[in-house]
Amino acid sequence: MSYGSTIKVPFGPQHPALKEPEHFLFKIDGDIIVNVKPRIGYNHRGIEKAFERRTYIQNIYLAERICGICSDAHTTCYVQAIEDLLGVEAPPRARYIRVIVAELERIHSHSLWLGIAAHEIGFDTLFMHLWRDREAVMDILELISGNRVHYAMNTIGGVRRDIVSETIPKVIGSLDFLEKRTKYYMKVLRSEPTVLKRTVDIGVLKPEDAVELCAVGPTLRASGVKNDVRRDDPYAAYDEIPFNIVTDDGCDVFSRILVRCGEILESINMIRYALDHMPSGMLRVRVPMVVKPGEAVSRVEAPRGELIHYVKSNGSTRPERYKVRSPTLANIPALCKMLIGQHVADIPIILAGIDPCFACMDRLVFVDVKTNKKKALDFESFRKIVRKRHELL
Amino acid sequence: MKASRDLIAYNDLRRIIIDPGFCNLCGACESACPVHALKIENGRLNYTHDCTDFMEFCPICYDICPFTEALLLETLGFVANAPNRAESIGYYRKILLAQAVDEKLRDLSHSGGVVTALLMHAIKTGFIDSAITSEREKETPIMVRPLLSLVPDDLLSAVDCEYFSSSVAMAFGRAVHEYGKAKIAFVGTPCQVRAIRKLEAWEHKIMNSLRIVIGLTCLWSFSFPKLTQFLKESYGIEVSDILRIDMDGKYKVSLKNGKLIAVSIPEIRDHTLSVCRMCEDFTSELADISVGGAHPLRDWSLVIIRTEIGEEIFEEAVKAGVIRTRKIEEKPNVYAHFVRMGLLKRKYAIEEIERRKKRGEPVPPVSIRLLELLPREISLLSSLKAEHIMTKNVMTVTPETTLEELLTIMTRHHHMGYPVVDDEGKILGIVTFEDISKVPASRRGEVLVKEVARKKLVTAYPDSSVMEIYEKMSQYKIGRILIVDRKDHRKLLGIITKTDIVHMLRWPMKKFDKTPT
Amino acid sequence: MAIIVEAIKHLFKRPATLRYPFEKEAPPKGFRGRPIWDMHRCVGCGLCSRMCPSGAIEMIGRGHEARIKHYVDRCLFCGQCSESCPRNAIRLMNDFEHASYSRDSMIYEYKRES
Repeated sequence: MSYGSTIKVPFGPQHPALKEPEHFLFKIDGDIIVNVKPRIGYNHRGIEKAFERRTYIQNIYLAERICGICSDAHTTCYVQAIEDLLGVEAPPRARYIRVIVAELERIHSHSLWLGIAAHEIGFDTLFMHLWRDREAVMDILELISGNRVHYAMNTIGGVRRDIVSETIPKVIGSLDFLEKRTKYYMKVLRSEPTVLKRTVDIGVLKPEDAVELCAVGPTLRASGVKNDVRRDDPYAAYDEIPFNIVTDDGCDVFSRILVRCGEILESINMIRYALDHMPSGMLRVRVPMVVKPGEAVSRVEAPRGELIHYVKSNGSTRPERYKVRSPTLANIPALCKMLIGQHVADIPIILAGIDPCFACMDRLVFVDVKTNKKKALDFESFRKIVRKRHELL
Repeated sequence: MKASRDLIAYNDLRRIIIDPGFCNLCGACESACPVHALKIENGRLNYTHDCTDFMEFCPICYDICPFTEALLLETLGFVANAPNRAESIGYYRKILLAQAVDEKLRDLSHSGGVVTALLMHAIKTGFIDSAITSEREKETPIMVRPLLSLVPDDLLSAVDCEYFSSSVAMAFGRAVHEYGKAKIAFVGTPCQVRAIRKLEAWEHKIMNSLRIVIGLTCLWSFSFPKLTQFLKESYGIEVSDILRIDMDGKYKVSLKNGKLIAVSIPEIRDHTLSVCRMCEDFTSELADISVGGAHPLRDWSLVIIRTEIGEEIFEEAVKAGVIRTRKIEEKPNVYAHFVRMGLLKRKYAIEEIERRKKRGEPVPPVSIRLLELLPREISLLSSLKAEHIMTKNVMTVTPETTLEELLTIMTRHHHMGYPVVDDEGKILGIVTFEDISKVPASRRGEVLVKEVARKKLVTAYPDSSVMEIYEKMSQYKIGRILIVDRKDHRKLLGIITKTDIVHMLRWPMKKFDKTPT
Repeated sequence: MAIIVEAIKHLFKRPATLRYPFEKEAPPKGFRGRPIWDMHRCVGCGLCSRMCPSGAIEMIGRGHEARIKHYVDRCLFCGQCSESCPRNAIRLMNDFEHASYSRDSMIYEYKRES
């Protein structure tokens, strides 16, 4: 496909609302996107190489910092891979605590995302309210783990800290509060005409396309496909805690919003169940610091989708090779598919719809198919275009 | 003994303790190692990875091994604020006889069931949240392995008499690291107790979870390969046939088919762990409470309470009615037997150490520590005079006392030796426990002290330095020395025992005035 | 416009943000702040320095003469040093306000007083 007569509209790499830079080259015909060419790698930090230079215990903290908001998912995936290599299993209480922290992180991540999505639409009131309520879950995580982000709860062989009985009433209180607020926001989102106009039938991804393009996480579940690592390949204590997989048949951005709200409510119920049924006993198993040669793969359901870690060890104190496949990478092809045929002004909300943990509007380059002229827009100008469209509605 | 220590303790540990065969698999090093480099597996201590990957200096495993010379005097500090000290018993507050009130517990154990009753009560009241003891292995009942008891009923499978060592110190580390227990009771043999006390003296962080230490009396442990080979060759017994081993003057091996085979002590002594042959501690002198059998009584145990916390937990159990007690003075022959076992063990130990030194064979550093003083200790002892540390109100006996009366006095006051003085207070001789042991029990009512007392005395003057006295005691191999007046050699001024000197090494600044018990 | 009701309600409420630095909220117990060393308990084994994921701890010397240098600007406040120390010589404090204008105030030195 030649980029013969096109207008290129660049989107700045520094996009404050999303977390990391990414570059998209859009071929547009007037106002409709005809083709998308993504370019990734702006945030390449050499983490997989850094894994090879550190010991197994130091790598726990490195894995945590692959992402700020799914940090617990990365550490869980990492320690599970290493525990697999060592042939040890975390004790039951440790597994329940891992589930609780993972679900709290899911709530945190989804509330943050809802705020971002609202902000992208231009609905700043909702954004502010959501982020204020998100503080409740951050305070709970600070109480349990000692920090608001980067909880460092997991260690090889178990967890480092216990959830003591004094914190449990506070956790339950916050969960009740969050449940009430989430149900209220779902009501608002379903009834608010601006939200509906901006998100229904935007960024449609049909189920067949979703499965063929290997989408993961809420993006996949919003197209009606019931796929979840927690049910398909249970880890930690997920085989003992009952939960529903939240799906929606709308296949658009609005479905993704609903799926994530539904997952927040599911997570709240799961945490309540886990706290009630938490077994007593050991918190961690003592493991040797040197790992036998071998390979291991582990998968977890991060808030954004399926996360895969692969480790290869050669019997020394450091891993030989480490590979991380984060869920946003799997969603990029699906993203490109859902952008075709959409308006330019809908780009932020569709991009935000897959909850990119690894994408942020870079300097987007728009290529106009007809005239083949490149036009670079800086962020402010692009925002103006977006706002104008919102005012039109 | 090596003058300087290797930077990495494991190198010293392997050279001085493991290679010569002095390891008894207590597991303290495994619990203490901060990089999990040591692991007890298949009856050996394994070095799972090179700890120098993580540290360039670490003294831990050598310092806390019970058979090294490190931290020995510091460990005394845990028991040494007790009001009494005696030879072969150590520091203590009380000695008495006790038994569990519940008959079932007495049947389960070899003697009074005191340890089981005490620990069950302690878990029930929340004084401790778990206990580390040993239990029999199902496949080979004579072997033991550590048992972590979390509820009182777990303790019913614990044994308080074992002839093979179990890795209880390793179990202690697991209880802290993996189970997160914070109030642990530890039951072990004298060397295992010493390992725990060394960990405490080193201030290792797992010791915050220790609540109480109960020591058992121990003559020695057997080496599993050596003993099984001996039994097979001399008696045709396979290990799988053995039901249990009891000690009752002789070793009685009970087989599963009901037969009983008796083995005498001299026969079986060659098959103990080599390190046990040089051990001088019979009664777990560093424990909070020491418990041992009260031979010839079947159902009673002899209990030595050494520290305040031991007293607290014991008194509580007595008040709650789970343990009943009797005065030790009621049974002087029990006390005599008990003390004789301790002295026997010490005698064997000293003989073995001498033999090995003559042949140039290695000796574990702990056994020779107190025979070789550090330079600062030599200077300390040289600066002190006998009059600073001697006991002035000496307990004495008259020449006409019978040996039976003397034994009663010993049982009440727990000293091992008494000067014999005449009506004017002049010294005639000295009589010790050993002298009583030489006379058979039936004749002790008739024989008088003056017949057995030793008249050749080793004495010193009040202005002699403690260092000279120490050297004299080592030279003559005696446990106490009489301090006499320079002008009148028969006038008794005081007495100094070996334990006084050891106590002085621990508290050099404290001037103490020992009041007689 | 369901959100309008909520927005008007909040007009008359206190703002949700604290006016930091004039209003502060104390971190909860168990907060992972800056580690401090108790040099009386330190044996100078160097484990904290080797285990630190970011290399924020430097040990100069060995054994009882060891001195510890802690670089706060590299510290992750993960608590791995405290966990590794065999003698509980490292404790995590409750503070988090470490920003400063000079690099030197980012280095904390600990040594044993003789």
